[in-house]
Amino acid sequence: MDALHNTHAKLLAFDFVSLTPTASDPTAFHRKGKLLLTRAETVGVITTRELKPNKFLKFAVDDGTGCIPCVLWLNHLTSPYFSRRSPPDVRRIADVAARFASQIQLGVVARVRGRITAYRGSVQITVSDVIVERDPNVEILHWLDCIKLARKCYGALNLSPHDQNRLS
Amino acid sequence: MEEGGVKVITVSELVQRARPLTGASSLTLRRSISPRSEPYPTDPNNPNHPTLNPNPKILKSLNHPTLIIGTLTLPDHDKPSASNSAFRCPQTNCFLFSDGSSTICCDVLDLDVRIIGKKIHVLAWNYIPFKSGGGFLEIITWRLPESSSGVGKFSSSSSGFPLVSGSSTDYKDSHKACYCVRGALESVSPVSVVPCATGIAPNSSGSRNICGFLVQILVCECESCSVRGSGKALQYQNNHCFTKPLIVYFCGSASSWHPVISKLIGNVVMLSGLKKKLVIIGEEESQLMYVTTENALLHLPEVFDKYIPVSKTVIKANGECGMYTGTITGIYMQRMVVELDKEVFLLLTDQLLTMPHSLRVGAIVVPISNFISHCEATWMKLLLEGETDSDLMNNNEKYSCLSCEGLTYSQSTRRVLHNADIGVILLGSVKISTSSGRLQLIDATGSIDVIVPDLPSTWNIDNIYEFQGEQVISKSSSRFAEALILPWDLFLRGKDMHTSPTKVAPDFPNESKHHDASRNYRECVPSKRYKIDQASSKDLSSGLSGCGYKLYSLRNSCFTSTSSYQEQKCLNLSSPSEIPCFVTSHDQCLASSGILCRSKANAKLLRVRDYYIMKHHQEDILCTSEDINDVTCGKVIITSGTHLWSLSFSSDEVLQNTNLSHLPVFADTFVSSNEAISDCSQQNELPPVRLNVDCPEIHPDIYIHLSTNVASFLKEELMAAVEGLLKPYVSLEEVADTCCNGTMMTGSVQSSGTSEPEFNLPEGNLISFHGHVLTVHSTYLRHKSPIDVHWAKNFQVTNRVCIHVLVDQHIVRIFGALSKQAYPIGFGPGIHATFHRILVVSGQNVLFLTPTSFIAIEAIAVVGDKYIDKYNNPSVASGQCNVASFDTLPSALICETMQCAECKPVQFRCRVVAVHILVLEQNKKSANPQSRLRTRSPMVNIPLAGFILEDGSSSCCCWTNSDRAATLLRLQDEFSHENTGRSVWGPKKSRGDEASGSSIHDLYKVVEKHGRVIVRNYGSMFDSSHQDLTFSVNSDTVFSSSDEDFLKFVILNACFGTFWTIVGSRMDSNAMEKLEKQLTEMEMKIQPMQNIWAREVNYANPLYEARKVAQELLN
Repeated sequence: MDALHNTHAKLLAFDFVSLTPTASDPTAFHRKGKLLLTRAETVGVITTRELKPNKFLKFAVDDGTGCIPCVLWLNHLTSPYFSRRSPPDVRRIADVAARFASQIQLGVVARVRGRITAYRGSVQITVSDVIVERDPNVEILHWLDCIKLARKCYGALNLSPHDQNRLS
Repeated sequence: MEEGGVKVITVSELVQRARPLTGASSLTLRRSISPRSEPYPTDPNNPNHPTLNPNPKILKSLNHPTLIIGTLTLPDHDKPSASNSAFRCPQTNCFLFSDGSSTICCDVLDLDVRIIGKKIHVLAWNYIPFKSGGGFLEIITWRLPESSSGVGKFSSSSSGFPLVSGSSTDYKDSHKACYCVRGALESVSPVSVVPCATGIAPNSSGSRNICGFLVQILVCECESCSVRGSGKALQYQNNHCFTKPLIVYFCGSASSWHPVISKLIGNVVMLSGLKKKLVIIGEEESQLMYVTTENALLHLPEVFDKYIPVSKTVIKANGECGMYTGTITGIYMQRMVVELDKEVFLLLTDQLLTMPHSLRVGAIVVPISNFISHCEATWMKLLLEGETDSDLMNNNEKYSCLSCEGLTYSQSTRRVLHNADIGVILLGSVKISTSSGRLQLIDATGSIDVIVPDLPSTWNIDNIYEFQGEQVISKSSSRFAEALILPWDLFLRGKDMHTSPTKVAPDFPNESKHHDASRNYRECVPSKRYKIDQASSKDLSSGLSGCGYKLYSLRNSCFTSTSSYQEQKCLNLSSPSEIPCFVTSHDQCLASSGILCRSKANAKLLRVRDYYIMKHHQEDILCTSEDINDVTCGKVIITSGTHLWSLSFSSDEVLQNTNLSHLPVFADTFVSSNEAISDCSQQNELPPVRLNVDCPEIHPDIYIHLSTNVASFLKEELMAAVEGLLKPYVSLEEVADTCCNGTMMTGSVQSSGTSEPEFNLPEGNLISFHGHVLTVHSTYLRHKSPIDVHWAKNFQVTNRVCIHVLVDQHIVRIFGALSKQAYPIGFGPGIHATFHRILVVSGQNVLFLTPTSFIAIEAIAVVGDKYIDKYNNPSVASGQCNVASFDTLPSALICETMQCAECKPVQFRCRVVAVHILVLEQNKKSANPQSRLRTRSPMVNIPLAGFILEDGSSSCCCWTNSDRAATLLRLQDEFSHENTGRSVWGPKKSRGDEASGSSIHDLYKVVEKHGRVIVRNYGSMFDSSHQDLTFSVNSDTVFSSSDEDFLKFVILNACFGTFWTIVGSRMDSNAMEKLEKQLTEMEMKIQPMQNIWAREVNYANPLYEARKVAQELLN
């Protein structure tokens, strides 16, 4: 379980949205009530995009099983969160984030990594990096990876009884 | 300008014409009076007496008498920017000739030192323009203008010529405080420039360059000569013995006398006004020299006392000097090699050695034996270097292991060296080795196997070829057929009762211009063909019986359109020279009775065990060649226009009883086979009894009916011929449509039922394909085919190999046995090759080499430098494929390695999250210009790097070095950016003003400045944006904020990249101990996570990976 703590877990959207916050650690989330996760990775199509310049970009990644809400912060230069870091570093991170924001366009297939956070009662990804994928096979590979990891590492797929019935 | 009917031509006119010209003032010219106008002394007994070129190149002559008037001057090394310098040669060692209109380089064949600086009339001359402008005037004869004092005569030169203009010509002044040297001038060095510190010169900036050249003079050691500065020394005596070599250094202004001194080689001269200097060469060696001073004088005798050194034409030992006079018969090697009399090569071995206006600097030519020694030494050096390059896991770059089907093999240590790296060029003739059958470059000292993709069609074993290691990609046609050529001509009887021979011979066109390396790998197809000695039509008509026919065994029978090599061996065969037969055509239109006569008749196997007659063209090599031995470049090409008639043999007892007496024994004329076939005169109702080699389903165009006993003989002979073949255990049933790309050839293989019935031979398709050889390794007999076993048992198989070939983005493996003989030269990783006739065993989907397989190398890439290879192979670099070993190693999740006790290599697919530590240093091997061999080494060396990787299951610290670390850092980002199809953010873009190169070039600038940079991450190991990177350098230089900024971009770029496929293994305790030690030295600690050593790093192919995972999930 510890091994996964700092790893970007590859989760399908329906699995991701079922994560629940933990009472003890605001950065950690339960999967199926036991597995503790802090970071996640998803691959899918950008279906919504809402930009607040110099503040944040909110967008959703649809991987075919659901949508994962994501937020990419763009307020590095003004946020007190970065005030302790050196200005060049903050500028660099801000530049990178701006570049990511420009790449997030509706319809593109993106690979998004970030921390799992909760916002207004639902889980989302606070984005740390984005890769726009051009090879459609990466989506399938991601699905397969998610299934494989769920089976081997995450303690089976987090299927609802309805899904299980449907799959069987 | 006219002068006495002779037109005066100016130098500028010559330059403007820019054409080679020759001119003279008179057709009956008398040479100018000159003490040196005697021709070069020649010895009639000297075999090296200059010979007249029977076919000299004649310069175009002006059609009117011309005269050039101008002044001959010495080059001025101190003033390179003399007037009209644009027309001066770059060597600046030539005489200059100026007439006020322009100045050009010149040479005086008949030089008198006294004309230097004087106006002369050039009476006969040659002019050679330079390509770069300007030209070269060769003064053949000259005279002093009548207006000058002395009317063409010189005053005495006993006072000597000052070597430095403006200095005293008084001998007494010059010899007072200085030395003089008198002797025979033996050799002159080129002019070189030496940097010189001149602390004493008040106006100097501290240092300047001094021109100078060395002259070796043989002096006499007799008493009179040994007296220092003896004035009597000027009086030459004949009884001197010039044996002791002395060196005089002409420096500074005196170096402008180089062209004069060069002309005086072999003469006795005296130099006065010299200083004596002990010159230290290196650390230990010293040499006593005489150096010219401002007062130096050159003294020439009134009558030249020519000292003729012994002309050595036989030079046996190294270092011996000799002289050879001859006519230039060829210039090779960018004019660095001059051939004299077609016998002697003069090699210019130093770039300072320049022939006047004819030759320029190129590479050094070496004898092949030296070349081989050099390569061996280089190889040993590389191996030794390699031993010091091992990493924490004791993996050696040069001996890196390869995994295939779970078994590890050591990689080939093959290494291709660029000729440019070695810095030599080879000269020699190209021949075929009688022992190996391989193409070889041969000189007097040795031979070396060569691959010549572009061997010219005019290839001649008598020519000298220059070999340079350029990479030539030759696209070759792959159409080929295998033929067993039967030694028979078919003579048919015509209407006029003459028997006409139907020439059945292969279509041997003139040698194609298209060649490739395949000629060297003919041994791959171990079979023979037989061909009878050529008999002209005259020979045939004058009597065949009783002739001793020769059967030529030709080593190879696989004719590709590019093959040409056939080695011949003579055998005597006592057999009937003619066989009576009946010939019918397929439409039952009767053919005449005929005779099968031994000749160069040929049949051709288009289908296995089928016989064909081909129309034999008069222009074919077999027809035109006088001697069968000339047919060394023959090949069979079947085009759509080639006429072929299938042929069938049958036999019956009846034929024995047929009266054959009416058959003319000999033919008078030749007709083509199609004419013969149409000429039917007699019905033949003999049921065809086929020889057992015929295929029943084929309907031949021509039947040849033979009597049983003759047929049995023919059969025996055929079988003997077949026996003579190194039997292909798979036979081609169909070798048809071939094309050049992708999977080219379709065909099938069937068990041929040969003499080894116990083997159940495999069936399958034969395919041919192009591919890039990724690796070749020896293999255990996991995939052991019956072919392989038999082949290994009967032939000298030295190696069972597994060849990994990248074909259309897929990696295929070919198993098989390659004998040493069959192993193509240069075969190995990095080549592009066409694999002909590879057996795909039915049901197993396994590729096998068969004895008839054939590998044609098309291009060889320089390998051995993985760093370059990886990026030079677009398929690999672009992530379109995985490297060979990837598909054979088990995949694993990082979390799974924690549970695994073993340290076996597995493959991971993961992404970089952070950098733990990164050591960057300048690659001294690539920085050293002397070490050209390693110029392809990466400029930045990464001795150790620790990356934090994750794959969704867990994180690990992945340790690696060199090119793998560079890959993980995405230092070639602009390349991968285009090829991976991914939108990536690269550091280059943030430094748009420096976007001239890849990250590695920018990185190199940083590393070059600091020598060694260590990057440590004291921040987060799991959040790329929260790494706290610090930089330290060994040097005293300041690590600037821009350098820091750039390196941080590089690292962030690496962390925001795509996923990799990594072959790695868990580090064992030994490796961890070493790692800990190294990290402690760098004040870092091992992270509390799994540590993996990455052996290979490559882009992952999502489709391929997805298939693999899907398969895994289904299982």
